Amino acid sequence: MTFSMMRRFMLSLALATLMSCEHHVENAVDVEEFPSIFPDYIGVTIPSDIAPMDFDLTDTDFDCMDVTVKGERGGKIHSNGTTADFDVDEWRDLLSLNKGGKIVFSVCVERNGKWFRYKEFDMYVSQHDLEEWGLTYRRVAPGYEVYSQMGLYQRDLSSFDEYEILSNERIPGNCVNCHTSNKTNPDNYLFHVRGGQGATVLHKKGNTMLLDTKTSETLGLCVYPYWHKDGRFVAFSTNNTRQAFHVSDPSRVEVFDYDSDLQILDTESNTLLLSPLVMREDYNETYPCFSADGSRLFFCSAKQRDFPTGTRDVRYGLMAMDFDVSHASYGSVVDTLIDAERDSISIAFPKPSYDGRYIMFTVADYGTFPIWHHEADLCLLNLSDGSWRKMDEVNSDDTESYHNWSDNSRWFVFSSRREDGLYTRLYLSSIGEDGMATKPFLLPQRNPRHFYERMMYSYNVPDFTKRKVEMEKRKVSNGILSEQRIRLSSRR
Amino acid sequence: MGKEKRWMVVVVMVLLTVCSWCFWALRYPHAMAYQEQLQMFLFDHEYFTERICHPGGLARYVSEFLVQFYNNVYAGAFVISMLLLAVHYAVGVLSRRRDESCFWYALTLLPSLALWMSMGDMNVRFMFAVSLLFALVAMVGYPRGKDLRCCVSYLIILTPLLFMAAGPSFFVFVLYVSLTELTSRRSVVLALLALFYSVVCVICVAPFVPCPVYRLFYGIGYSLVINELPTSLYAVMTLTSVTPVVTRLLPVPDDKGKRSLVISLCMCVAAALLTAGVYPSAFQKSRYDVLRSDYLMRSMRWDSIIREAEKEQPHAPLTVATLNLALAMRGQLTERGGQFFQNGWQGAFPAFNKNFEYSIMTAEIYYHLGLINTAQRLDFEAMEAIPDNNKSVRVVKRLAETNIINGDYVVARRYLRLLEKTMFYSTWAKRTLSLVGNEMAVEKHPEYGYLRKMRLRNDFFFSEQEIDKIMGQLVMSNKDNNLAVQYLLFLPQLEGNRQKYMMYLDFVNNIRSGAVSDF
Repeated sequence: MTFSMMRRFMLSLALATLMSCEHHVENAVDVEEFPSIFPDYIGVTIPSDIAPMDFDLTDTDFDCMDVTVKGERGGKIHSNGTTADFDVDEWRDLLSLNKGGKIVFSVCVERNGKWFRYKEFDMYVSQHDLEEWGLTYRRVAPGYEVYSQMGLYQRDLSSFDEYEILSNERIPGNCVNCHTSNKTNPDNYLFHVRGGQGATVLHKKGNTMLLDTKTSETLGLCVYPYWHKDGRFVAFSTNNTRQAFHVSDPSRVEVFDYDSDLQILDTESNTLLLSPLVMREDYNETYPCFSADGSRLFFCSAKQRDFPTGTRDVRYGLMAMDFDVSHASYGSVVDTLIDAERDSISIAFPKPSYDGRYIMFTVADYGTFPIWHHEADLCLLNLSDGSWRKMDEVNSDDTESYHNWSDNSRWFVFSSRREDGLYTRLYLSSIGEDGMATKPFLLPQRNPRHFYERMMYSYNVPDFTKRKVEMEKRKVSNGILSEQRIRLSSRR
Repeated sequence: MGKEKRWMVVVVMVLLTVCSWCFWALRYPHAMAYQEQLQMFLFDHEYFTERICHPGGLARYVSEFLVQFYNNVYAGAFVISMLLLAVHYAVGVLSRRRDESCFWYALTLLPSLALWMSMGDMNVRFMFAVSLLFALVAMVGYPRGKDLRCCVSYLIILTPLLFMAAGPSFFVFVLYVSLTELTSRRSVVLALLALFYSVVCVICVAPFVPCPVYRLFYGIGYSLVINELPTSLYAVMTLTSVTPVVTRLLPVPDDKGKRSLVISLCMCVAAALLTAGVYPSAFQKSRYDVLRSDYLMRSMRWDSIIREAEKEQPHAPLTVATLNLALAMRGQLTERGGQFFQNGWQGAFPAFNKNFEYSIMTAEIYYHLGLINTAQRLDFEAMEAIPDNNKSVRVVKRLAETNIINGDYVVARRYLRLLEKTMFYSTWAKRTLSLVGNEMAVEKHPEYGYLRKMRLRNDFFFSEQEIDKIMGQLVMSNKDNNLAVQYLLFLPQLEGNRQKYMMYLDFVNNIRSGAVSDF
């Protein structure tokens, strides 16, 4: 039993003690409105392999909450206590019985000895499963230049269990970021370590390598990664990044690139493939990603501006160019998919769906780092006709930023600051045949209000993972703490 | 033990308690205030489970519970003095001789006095003292001289438990057992096995703890410097292990009359003098001057800051900056700032530094000026700069305040809810929650309402190099921002630039008369 398991056990024990009140519903008075619950799970669509959608009342002025969940196609589960907390196995059975249908929640609340029955609400169980083991993400305080405890974690989506992939407690003084797998397959993954012991940790075919990605011909270290579907190539940007701080704007931080280029790592020869088309002197290129079939390279590009005076004029458009896998070479033409200057927007984090139908991206008014932009929203580009739209059905008044697709491209996860404007939380939603997304739901947690109120960290760079990421943490952290790195070469 | 010697023991214990209480409460309240702000003890099960699952977790939990009382300097000093007394008492119990002689009694003072001095290193956490006490309790319980099987069983069971509860202070216990067995010549094998077993315990636990192995030997939470253990702590641990054994073994003179009592008392005085000799290097004045400045600034005792500066001129950038803020708060910066040692612009606005004291003290200056975003940023950075990853109750309180001033009520509520779970900030948090979302109440609030009015009206990027322009913008945003006016006129004085001073003076005069609309 690891210490994290021991901790979970003790937490569960404490929660079980705290949550039980066992009052029975008697003579309930009907209330003609939905209960006010956190998270807002009313009318959401969920996969049948998701953890119990536990919830709390938004107010605390009550004695007991009794929740009955009935399946349209049968099955019934019940919770009674100060929070709606469902047994994982019972929940799983209920959802598998009602796949493609709906489940109905009946919530009764006891206040001052009197029971009130709220209007029933539905939750729709999608006929499409997630087909993923869980999520990977980074947990970090939403700070500026200094970071304390942070790390890469993974969460089993069919339960509430979270596991460490690698936290910086193992490598004091360093930071870990951008855990990226190839199409949610953890057999190939990489992440960066920044700090005194900086490296890019690349795991492939059971081998883990520590790379020093800075070469004499490139700007600096490899930054935003994206795997080619064949697992041989990884596209990166390399960015000369700075940040500045607003003195009164609600968007506290502005991150900008003085310069940035793209490069593709050939993991078989440890060579960076370079092209002048994505290393232009007067343009910044960033956020590369491969198309679903691997034949195109998408990326964002903006004309360079003076900083800080030109900050609000920086607009990244969405570009595409060919990539020839067999010859490991770039195409000769860069196409503009979305002209940001024309539309007065700035694009970041393009993520093609793995079925080749869409590119999801984040749009802000300007700049390259929308995480701190309250106006940032998710958008969807339809690759069949080139049209794009803001995804109003999932966007909020606050920041929506990083996102990723499930392997079957039916589901996506994204981060949002909608709860309080600062701490980023994860939301999941599904996308239908018509390209419309369903109402997103907050990543389920036990006793969610308490959990999220207490969590002093943001979730960022979420991605799905097909299986649990297995990493020899001690070995990898010892490797990081050593000085040994594989140096890359480059080729134009 | 004779009646006189019993009296000596009682008197020494009382003196130790009273002196340590006076020392901390009257001389070093700022040391306690510093430690208190480096944590946020929450009364919930997560806080307990987060700590208890690491080696030394129980000691950390107990110590953090106790450190809360530093919020009240008298209670905090009482906690420290009681702990020093407990350490001394436990060492005394372990040092009891068969002949009941107290001749070497002064030696039993050494571990607690050394611990006291080690606490002068502001990086040393109170957890170390608590873990040492845990080890001493285990040492007192050791069935010394009893059946060997009993000793072995005790050792086998208690060593891992003590490691989990106290962390590497369990080596104090192990070393004591080894020395006890070696000096009694009963079982050399047990002595060696005890040492071997302790290392095995650490190595067995290591794979399950997410940190490098060396940290298990240094103690997670013993010191704010995570990559090493301060030398003073090695000294304290060694003294605690060795003192009882040595005291039991040393020969005692035949004379059991008053002469030996006098010698014992002289040795106690010598121990006290030795401590006094170590004191200046243990409590480095320059560092504690900074902490005192921060303590006075945090409690807004501006007159005290000025009074102390009049007695002794501050020289460190942070203490100079605190004095300048105090002068500004009393409306004296422009007139009197030049009377004190200055340090250029750095003495008014210290440059950003990834360090708790720098960030939090600089944030105070920006907060009072009305640069709320900048204060909030530096406060957040300060909290993230705490090396042992603790959150800071002081910072969270200030973050709640800055978010209220900025009208970011949801985040403010979240911080206040956390503070509701603390012991000493709960009442404030509950009271402040009534302001959340209540624009009218915030506007009328003497501090938050005022600072909200002082904020900048237009946005730009913060620049330490253009701080005079930012002061100008603050004056532009609100001509009643007297603090900004004083700093604006003071900055050219620091440069010795009379022309700029006159220009800024004209600007201030014009803006106050409504003649200027841009800086």
